[in-house]
Amino acid sequence: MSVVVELDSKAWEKLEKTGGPQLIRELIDIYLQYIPGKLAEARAGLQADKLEDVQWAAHPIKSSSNNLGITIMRVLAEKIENLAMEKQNAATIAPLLAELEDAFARTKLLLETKRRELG
Amino acid sequence: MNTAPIQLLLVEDNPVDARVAQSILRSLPEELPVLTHWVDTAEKAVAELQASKYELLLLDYQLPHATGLDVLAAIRRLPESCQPAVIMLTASGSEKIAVEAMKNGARDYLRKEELDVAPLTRAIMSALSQKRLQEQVNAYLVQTQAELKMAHHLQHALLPQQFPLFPPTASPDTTRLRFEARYISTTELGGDFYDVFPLSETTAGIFVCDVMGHGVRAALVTALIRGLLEELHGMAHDPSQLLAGINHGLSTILRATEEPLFATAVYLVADIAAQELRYANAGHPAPLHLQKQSARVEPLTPPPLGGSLALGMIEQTTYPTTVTRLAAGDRLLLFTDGIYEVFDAQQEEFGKERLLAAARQAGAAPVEQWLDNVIGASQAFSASGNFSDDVCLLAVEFR
Repeated sequence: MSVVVELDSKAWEKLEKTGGPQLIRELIDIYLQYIPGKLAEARAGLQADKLEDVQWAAHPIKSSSNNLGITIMRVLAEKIENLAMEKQNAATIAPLLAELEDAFARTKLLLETKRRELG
Repeated sequence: MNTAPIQLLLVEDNPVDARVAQSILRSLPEELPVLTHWVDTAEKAVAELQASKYELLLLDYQLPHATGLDVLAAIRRLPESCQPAVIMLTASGSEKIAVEAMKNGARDYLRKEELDVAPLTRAIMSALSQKRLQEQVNAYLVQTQAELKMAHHLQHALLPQQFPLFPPTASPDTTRLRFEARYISTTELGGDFYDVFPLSETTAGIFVCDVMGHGVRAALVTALIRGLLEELHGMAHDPSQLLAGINHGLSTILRATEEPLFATAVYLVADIAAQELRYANAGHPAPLHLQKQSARVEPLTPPPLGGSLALGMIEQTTYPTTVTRLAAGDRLLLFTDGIYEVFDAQQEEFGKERLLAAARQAGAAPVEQWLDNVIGASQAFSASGNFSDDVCLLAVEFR
């Protein structure tokens, strides 16, 4: 099932107020560059059954997504981080990670559109 | 107003969070200008703190291969002047971590999701004000400690640096009156004091006092008493007169103070030619007289109707003189109450009886060892192994 990706307008307003469009442009660039690596680390951790690596990778996804108001990414990353911290088995985490990867693919499209709009 | 920017080190491994934090830091009010340097690992943070001086550290708790607590521990190992004020950034639901961070030296914490201009301004101002206050307190403590150390040296300089010889032509081995003292103060400044001075070629004045309490106030009073002792030297042949004189002088001075203050004292005149001891007591624990011939240890108690009020309490007080015989080989032990007001685990006091027994038991030992054995017996009895009050012991040996 595909997840719906929405951007929290309050978070974007806050960023706009703090640093204007320039900050938003920079944050989108950094986010799109940074998150794929963390998703790959989470995936590798899951495959190697190293839940600590999964936890360490999910944590910054949660935090970064929160800053950009990408609620679904934050929620999924938080669930994965908590499950990994509780040492749940990989099978429990795997579907959530797949969902997170899917959410990121959609987020990427959304952010790229937003980035183009900002110039 | 031209304010120098605050040097701030941002420790954050997540580049998105770091960029947001930097942007917020740039938006702080004008009166709080901040110059931010960003590092993304604990190791780089520690290296940076060792290399440059930062006033403030904005520290993410969760870092790769380390936590903010590890960085706090490394900061505590830095010289105090290089330790920045730390504001810890935590995830939501991490209040326990925040409390732990505060216990380990963080000045404040912020949850990442509430990181914004207003809370960060508040946290920075609070952290810096705490740090500056702490620096002022530390500077004050350093200065006070230096002054106390100086006062400690000065107070020790007021004690006899060497004891007189009797007769003055005698050597330390042949002197007919031999003295040995131990002085243990529980703080830099003690409230105990002793002095020994020659009154003639065959007579010595021996004085021990204990000012109520310890610390600066008590030490100042010991200095006053020493001054009075010198001023009243002409009365020193008569214990009664000398104590009355000191009491008068002290009462006059202490009248001007708001809180009551007194001192106990005992003064002895040892006359080796007449083989007698004259003494008077102002509320002080009775010295012990170790009689060689009978092997008895007797307290030099004041007469039953004698004034035993401490010095500085009532201006017109009399302190009758008592005379007793001295024989070759006899010893005296003068002391302050700190030596016997020592308690074991059951809160039982070492007390005067045990002190007397210890003095008797070690009575055959050389006089230095005699004092050390008495101190050792009291310390061994004490639950803590330490004294809770100043201790002064003065031994006199008639040879």
